[in-house]
Amino acid sequence: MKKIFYIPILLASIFISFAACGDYLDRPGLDTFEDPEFWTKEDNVRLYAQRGYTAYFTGYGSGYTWGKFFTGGAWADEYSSSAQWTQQTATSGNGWTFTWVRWANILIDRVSKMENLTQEEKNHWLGIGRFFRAMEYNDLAKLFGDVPYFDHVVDHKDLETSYKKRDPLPYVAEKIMEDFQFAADNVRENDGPQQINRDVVLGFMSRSMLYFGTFLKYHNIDSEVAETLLRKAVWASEELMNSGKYQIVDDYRGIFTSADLSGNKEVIFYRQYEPAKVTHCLVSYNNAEPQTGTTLKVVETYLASDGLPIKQSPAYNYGPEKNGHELKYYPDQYKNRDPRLAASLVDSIRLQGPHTAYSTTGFLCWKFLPYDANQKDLIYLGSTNVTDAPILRLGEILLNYAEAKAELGEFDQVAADKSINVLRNRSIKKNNVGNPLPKLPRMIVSGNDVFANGIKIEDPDRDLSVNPLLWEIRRERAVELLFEGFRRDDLKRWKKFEYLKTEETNGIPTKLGIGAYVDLNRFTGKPKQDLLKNVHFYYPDPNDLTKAFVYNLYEKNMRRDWVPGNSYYERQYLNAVPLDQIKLYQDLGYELAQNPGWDMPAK
Amino acid sequence: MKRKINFLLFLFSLSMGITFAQTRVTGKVVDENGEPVIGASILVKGTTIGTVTDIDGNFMLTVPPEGKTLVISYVGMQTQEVPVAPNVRVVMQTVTELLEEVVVVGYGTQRKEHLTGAVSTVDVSRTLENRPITDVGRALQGSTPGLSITTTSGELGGSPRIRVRGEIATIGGGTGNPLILVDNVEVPDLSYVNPDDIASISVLKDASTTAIYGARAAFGAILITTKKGMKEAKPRISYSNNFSWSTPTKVPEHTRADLNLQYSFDQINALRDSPISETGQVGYWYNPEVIKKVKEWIDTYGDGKSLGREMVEGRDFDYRKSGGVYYYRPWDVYDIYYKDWTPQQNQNIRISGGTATTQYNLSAGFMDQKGILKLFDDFYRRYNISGFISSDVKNWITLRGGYMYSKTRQESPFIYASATYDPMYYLYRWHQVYPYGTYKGREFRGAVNDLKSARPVEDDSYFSRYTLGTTLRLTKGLTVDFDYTYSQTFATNHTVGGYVYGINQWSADISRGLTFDNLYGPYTTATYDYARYTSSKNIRNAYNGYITYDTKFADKHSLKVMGGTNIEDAEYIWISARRNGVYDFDKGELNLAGGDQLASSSHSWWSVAGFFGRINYAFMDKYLFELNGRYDGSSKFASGKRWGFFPSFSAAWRVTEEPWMQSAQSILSSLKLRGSWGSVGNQDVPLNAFVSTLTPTTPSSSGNYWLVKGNFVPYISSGPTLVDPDLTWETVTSLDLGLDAGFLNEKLTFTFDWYKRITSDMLAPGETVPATVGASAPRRNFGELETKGVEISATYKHQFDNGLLLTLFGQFTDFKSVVTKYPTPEDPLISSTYYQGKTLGEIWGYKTVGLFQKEDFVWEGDKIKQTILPNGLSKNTHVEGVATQYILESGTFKFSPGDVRFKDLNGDGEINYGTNTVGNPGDLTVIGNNLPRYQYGFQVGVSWKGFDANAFFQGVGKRNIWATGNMVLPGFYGTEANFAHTLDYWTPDNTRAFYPRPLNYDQAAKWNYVCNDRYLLNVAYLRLKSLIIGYSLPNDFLNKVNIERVRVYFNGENLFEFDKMKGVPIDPEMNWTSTTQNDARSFGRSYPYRRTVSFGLQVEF
Repeated sequence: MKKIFYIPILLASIFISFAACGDYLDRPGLDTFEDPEFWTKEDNVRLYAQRGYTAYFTGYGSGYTWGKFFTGGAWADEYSSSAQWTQQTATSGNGWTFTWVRWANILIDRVSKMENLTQEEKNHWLGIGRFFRAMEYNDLAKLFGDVPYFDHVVDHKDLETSYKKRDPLPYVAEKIMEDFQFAADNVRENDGPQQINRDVVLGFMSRSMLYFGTFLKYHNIDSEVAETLLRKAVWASEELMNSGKYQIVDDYRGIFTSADLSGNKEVIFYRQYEPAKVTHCLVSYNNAEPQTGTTLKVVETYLASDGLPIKQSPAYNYGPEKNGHELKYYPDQYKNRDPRLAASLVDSIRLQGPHTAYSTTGFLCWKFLPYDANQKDLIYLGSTNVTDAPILRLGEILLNYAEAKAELGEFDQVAADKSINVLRNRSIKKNNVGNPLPKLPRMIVSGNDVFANGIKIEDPDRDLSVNPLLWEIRRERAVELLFEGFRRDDLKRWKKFEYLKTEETNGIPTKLGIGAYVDLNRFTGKPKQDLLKNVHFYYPDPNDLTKAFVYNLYEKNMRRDWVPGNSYYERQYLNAVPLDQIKLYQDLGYELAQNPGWDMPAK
Repeated sequence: MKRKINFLLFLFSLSMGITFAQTRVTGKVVDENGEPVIGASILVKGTTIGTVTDIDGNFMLTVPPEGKTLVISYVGMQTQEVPVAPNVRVVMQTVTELLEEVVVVGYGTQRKEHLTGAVSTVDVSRTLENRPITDVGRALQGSTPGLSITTTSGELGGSPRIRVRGEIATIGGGTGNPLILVDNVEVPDLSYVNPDDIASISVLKDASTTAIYGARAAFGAILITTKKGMKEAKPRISYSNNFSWSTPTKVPEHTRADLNLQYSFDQINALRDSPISETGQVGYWYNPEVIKKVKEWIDTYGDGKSLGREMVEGRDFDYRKSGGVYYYRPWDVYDIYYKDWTPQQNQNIRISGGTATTQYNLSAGFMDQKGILKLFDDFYRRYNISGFISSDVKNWITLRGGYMYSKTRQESPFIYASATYDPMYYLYRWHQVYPYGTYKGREFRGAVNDLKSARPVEDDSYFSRYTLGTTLRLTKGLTVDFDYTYSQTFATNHTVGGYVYGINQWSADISRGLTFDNLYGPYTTATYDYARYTSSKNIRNAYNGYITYDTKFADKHSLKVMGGTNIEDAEYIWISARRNGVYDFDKGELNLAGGDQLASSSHSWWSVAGFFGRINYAFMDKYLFELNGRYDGSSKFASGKRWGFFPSFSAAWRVTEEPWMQSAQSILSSLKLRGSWGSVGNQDVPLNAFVSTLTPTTPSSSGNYWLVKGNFVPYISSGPTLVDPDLTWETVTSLDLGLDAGFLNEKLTFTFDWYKRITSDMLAPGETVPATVGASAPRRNFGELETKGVEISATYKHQFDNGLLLTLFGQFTDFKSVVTKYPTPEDPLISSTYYQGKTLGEIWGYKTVGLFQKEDFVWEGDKIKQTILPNGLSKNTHVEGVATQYILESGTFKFSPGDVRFKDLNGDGEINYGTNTVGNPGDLTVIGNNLPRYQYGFQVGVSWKGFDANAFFQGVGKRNIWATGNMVLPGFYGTEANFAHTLDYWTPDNTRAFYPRPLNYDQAAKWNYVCNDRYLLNVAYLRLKSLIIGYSLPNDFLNKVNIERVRVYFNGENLFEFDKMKGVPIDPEMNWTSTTQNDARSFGRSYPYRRTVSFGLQVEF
């Protein structure tokens, strides 16, 4: 063989040995973690768990995406948007997703297998995992009622498990309770700033237990479990109330408008916002932009300054009604009221036409507007707002406590003095300047009756199926937690969506169908023309065209009726299970039940 | 035109007919440019009688009676045979032309007539030269059958989308990109290659030709070879340049300002029971009175350009008492934004030559393309240097080395928003009364001021590549080649934000105590207060070694055997560093900033290794066989799933070599039938698709994060992912049947291919699992996609007696892809991205039967009769025989006169969508397809006495796009500007209008704008892609000044087009881009396509 043959043979053998060498093709991922190896130390567990924060603690949202506060268009806080009741059975999605259940179960599963954690670390992170699982099932069960409960990561090849039937709500609710209880027993008292601690767990436990306790009770599902859950709500609330760490602050509006909530004694947990990092748009919506306004219903819910409902109150001096509507027109509606009204709603009327930053009903929210806001600084405009968002505050806990106690029939004067009367003892100043507004008198409880200023409260607007005590506790909740994202859930668990109807069967708008009562004589010239061009009015007295309600639901197709017992309406309490999922079960011979009133897939 | 061709054919037939037996022949030998060939040898075939041409290329020869044929030859040119005639004119083809007969294939070359697979070659000189092109990809559009090149906007820089055989080759997550090799090694981006350096381009289309590359060439390969110099050639310096100017092909024009506002006003008010008196956004308000004043302004001041830019209160605007401003003065925003003509230049210089043992080539190029923006100097620039040397060190060994360097820089304006809201978006967004002027010399908040204030975003890339190689000639016919190539791409991006100062006339407080004077200040937020560098590094090593044995035995058998190995690895690192709080934005450096620091990176690598072989066997040059195979390994799969073997086979029969075909030779000069079958793997799947990963997120700017003590908290944003550890290759199997034919001594050549390509084991979603699992089942090798297509091309070349050389070329490509296997429910939703049986690109929608007119409704006085529906809502009542469309209504909208009437396909008296499934689509049907069908190109070239001209047309026969936004659907967003062509809208007085009554759709494709065939864009087109007219100076003049060649030329690109856009002034090649598709409003709000005129010079010394 010629010598030159050696050259290619040599080169070729180098090449081949290069490639054939096993690890030349071994190129494991360089910039990602791989699953089993990732779970080595506590820092990594924290890195994993951190994802849940923005998912469950949305606060004021971010950018132009809103959180649950002041959700203008949805049916909350008696909002009069043109949103209809859901009319179609969802074909997919609709909230029927278990991604976060899986996520939490993975956390629980991996942490329980980790060998290099101390027992304390392990317990804490198992607690965090179970807290998140409770949070997720809380959301799912709120939407759907019965849901399949999984306490482990579901293997997609395990059909028996993945095509499991829905578990009954009482079972699921008790599982949620167990997870919260485990978390409350194991999560650290302090795990650093802005990290979940035992108080955060207790706060959400109080909220969730009250929800399911009352839901199971008022939807007649399981009174026994309901009582267990309500007791848990009381327990969790008391743990926080008795800890001495938190107290009700005077500056009510300050809780929602502060650039830094770190020192606020009322706030248990909050979300931070910083310029150019995480910002929101809620201030702007309160500041310079047209609002989908709240309705007369909300304004009338606030007590008069003498602690009495307005129709009963001498201080308010409710006028005579015509065609079902009183004639006290704006701005007298705002005089002599619960000071929280002045802290929540703008003290003047603003209507489309004469005003740029108007409300569709005339009533504007400023609960989230900082006292020194202007229309020039960017932190008050667009999506670059930076006020911190309270996620949990003592005010809510006191109300959870009060309501749970009342539902258990244990709400006495002691309970009232620990809860509602603490809230009423705030010293609130309008716009945080000048003299404090008069405080509401103490709530005096006697059996199921409530007294204020020595007068027994007899609200003519009371729903007769609700006893006077509970009626007032619920009023307190509606007022204190206005625009904080609770109202829809509250109506749901009390089974009171009928409150949301915007017109009577005879076509007359309810107080959800109308806004401010306006004396049109107060407008003249071009502003009046603009007003009449832009705003629709409802005239309670067709012969008097000077006095009118703002009528923002003037279109028939915008209105919302409610007929009790009609499944078209009653089904709104629970979401439809999406048809594609029911079909999927059916195709494989499994069964997934639909919620009452919603359609089943076509055969 | 047609008559001209007839005349030429007549002349041509005359010249063919006249053949006399003469003894005295005079003639002239010229090259393809019409230049005389000096010293060419002329020989009477079968004798020793001959002569050579003189300095003018002329010769004279006496031919004995038996002499029938002359053989003309010259070094470096293809030998030609012509019949004896009294006057002969011979056009010689230079070797580069000749080279095209040898086709570059994977790891070797092949004579064209020996090809058995589907390979197209690109006519480089006609396609790439003399055009003001910025990259090879764009130039190839329409040039080659089976090759689709598309761009979605006229954006500077970047590479177009290149596909071989089918727009979508796989739906499993891979890109479907063809493998693009320059001198046998992949380049990361074709735009790094200087078009002037390219010697040949082959497009390998079927498995039999790409199998040699294994799993990276599953969807075709484009092989590019670069110029290498020539042996025994004296040094030659060539220089060429091109200077061009371009202008937008089409620009959507706003309609006249007052009509524009009125149209919007009507849209906004359409569905209100009582209309609002005025409306406005971002600080500008209008009402009927303002609209009247705008009209008066136009009547008084015309275009207002004599007034300067300064705005005067009372004349140009008034404050609105309750906030906002009324503006009366319209602006010619296109004039503010766009340059009329945008320059570009290309310059190239090359030195090449060689001795008996060595050849070399050195070249440098420069390209500078300016952007169209008037207010910002955007540009794209590229510098190229390359070199190659090869030397036969000994008679058995050749050593070679080469390098290629490319540097590009692009500057574009910083955008004070997300990329979607770029300057083009704002050019088309607001009405013309938006204050584009100044007040007291100060600019207003808006895109014009943003552009003027923007600092450049600087993108630089540096690509370099070094090759060392050797060829060993071991014994006759046996050679071994080794090549090592190292390439690196280094890219940086430097971005500096800042604050924009101007009058913030958007403020709600304006005129409520504040005026323009009070509102001057920064109107952008701290979000953009940062400087950022990103840099990336991409390193690749490629080792290629192969051995070739070429032999002939028994005179009838020729055999070529090749085997080798190919090993490649790559590593990629990307780093981004950002710092907020810049001290001085004119010095936007990280060390000159004091705020938060944000950094992130990505790092990946991969490797492949393959062993391949090929056997070519030809029997009597008549029956041709080829066998290919590659055993390929890829790091993208789990060990055990890493290696695959991919074979292919092809055969051809050269029918005209058969003795019984000889009689047809004078007409059918060649005919070859080909067939091939093969399968290739596709490893183009996401990295580490078989490993369950957890990916952390690192915040890089503001977003939805959790803060602790004001700092971002990183978290695992996805994972652990559910994966299938058994994931492996997708397999691409193709069958190709083709024929090549030549007529009239190859004057006319014709190629036809039919193919079927099946992409199987395609990565597809896992079996549908219930939502309860909490994750989708992992992807698996499951789907199947079938593409069928045909490709035809034909070339005709003829030289007339008067020296006129005519070249005609045409090509046609068509294909259709259908999903043949995919996880699909029994009756899939028509909205599913894929389902079994889906033709890719199909568009579902309603057919239409015009607009509703008054007579289609039942009237009660002046109101339409209402029918009450079961849910308490009401609808308009139609007359008998008109189908109801109630189901498509929402809110307060009811179908009324002037709205679109859909066709009741199933005749049930009701327009509906059934269950929205393929099986029950109601009245929905497939109304079009967004993938191109019937793509074609044709060229007509003539050259005569130093003049040459080439016209290149390119077109798409059928294609649709369902576009949204005000440019195509007026009122899609009622608060934004309208366009001139949309003024033909329905009113009671204009009932035959094209567009429906004015409505505001609030950015949703609903009501009249649910997908339908009335407003579906037909983007088929035929355009004159390129027209070149050149003149080469005569040689006798040039010889005196010692110059070999001088040619001047004119070129026009995209000079005109035919399309069916129905007046929509959007270029038919424009499509949704990666940025416009993020906002339903923005179709057409992209960088415009350009028409270009250029001239240039080519000189050779």
